[in-house]
Amino acid sequence: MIFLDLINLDKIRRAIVYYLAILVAIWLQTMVFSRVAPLGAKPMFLPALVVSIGLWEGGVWGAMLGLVAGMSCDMAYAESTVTFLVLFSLLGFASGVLADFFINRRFVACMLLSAAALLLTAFCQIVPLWIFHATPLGALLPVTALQTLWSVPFVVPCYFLARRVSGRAGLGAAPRD
Amino acid sequence: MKLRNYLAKYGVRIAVIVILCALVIGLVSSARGGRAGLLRNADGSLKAPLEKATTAALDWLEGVYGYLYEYDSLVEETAALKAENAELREQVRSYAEMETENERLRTLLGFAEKHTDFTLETAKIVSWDASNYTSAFTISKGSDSGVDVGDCVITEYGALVGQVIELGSDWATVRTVIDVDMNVGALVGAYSYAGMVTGEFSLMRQGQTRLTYLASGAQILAGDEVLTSGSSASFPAGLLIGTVSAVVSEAGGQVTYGIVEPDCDLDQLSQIFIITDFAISE
Repeated sequence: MIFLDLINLDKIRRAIVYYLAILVAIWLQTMVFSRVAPLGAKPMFLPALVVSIGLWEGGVWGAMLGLVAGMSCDMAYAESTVTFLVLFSLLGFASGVLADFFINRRFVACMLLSAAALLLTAFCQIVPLWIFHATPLGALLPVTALQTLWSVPFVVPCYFLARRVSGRAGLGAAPRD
Repeated sequence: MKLRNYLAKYGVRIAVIVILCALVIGLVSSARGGRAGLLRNADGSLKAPLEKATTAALDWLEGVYGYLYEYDSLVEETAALKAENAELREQVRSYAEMETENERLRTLLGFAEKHTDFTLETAKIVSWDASNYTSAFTISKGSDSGVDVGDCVITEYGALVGQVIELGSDWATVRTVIDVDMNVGALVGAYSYAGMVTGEFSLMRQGQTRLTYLASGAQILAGDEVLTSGSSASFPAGLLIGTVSAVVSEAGGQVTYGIVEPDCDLDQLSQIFIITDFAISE
């Protein structure tokens, strides 16, 4: 029993739930929504989940779960090797820092932050095409905009899931880490 | 805790972890040249049955949706049908599927008889890449079936579909002929002018690709067939890539390129064939 006391079961439970949420999000994004492309663009909502986790759990959790999510995303997409790993870690950490020091954790803040993260992700995806393939931005930006637009509704379940799992609803803005 | 202390305490550590992970994965990935590492291979193998199940479930749902969508117009016809007929229809559907596959294999047999030097491996498309910026899909065969990175992928009619770019033990990722990173040496027109089929983003979105780097003096016309030149070790010569649908001039007529409509209908593809070996013609 003394060993059990050394383990923070609440942290483990939260980590498992978040990891399962990431797996479900990856499954939805790469297997289900890869077949749904309204106006020719597919959603990419994993950044919204990472931002929500960072927002409610702080920068360290955001970065580490962002790293896991990014690694899984890199494995699932043919286009990148480590782009999502670096990007999602940064997004998770940045959202945690912002929530701990500068912004509140209300839904509107999460929505704005997620929208920015989704746009940044889409922009990072088009950079290689823009630079190495000389694809005009005029051709890339409509797809970027549509991808972000279709991804924004997913902020709602991501935000409320992270809020629920973190158990911090109604608490102050003091950093958790 | 103040922001500066927070960043000093956690920011540096996290940056080190992320950079180390990125370096290790990047180096391992480039060293293996498209062959999946242990983690990636395990991930692909674990996902394969899930992808198959998801695809089957979504296909079934699409079938149900299609049935419901047309329900109103079919209701009078179907009212007279009994349960026995439904069972028979189910059987017919299953036979039709088998017949389609049989037809594909018979067509392939004819193709294989013409190209006796080809070693072919059949595979099914498991899932399409979720990215808006690439055109790629995952297939149900990998290195266990003799597939290798760079292998050429075709339809039963011998039309070029793409190339294997990443490989696991029982799965592989195929980049299609319209992808922006695709480059294939090509021959076009009655005089077999040399050129290069290279993907372009805007055309990829429309299911087309571009024929460019044409030899000086080359004249191409809409309707010309584009074939692989066999200039690289990956693609055998003479595979049909597609047909020139339009000829475009740029820079005051100094640069001419063709828009190529691929011969394979990527939206309708379900089964593909991988050329795992072929005789290179000198």
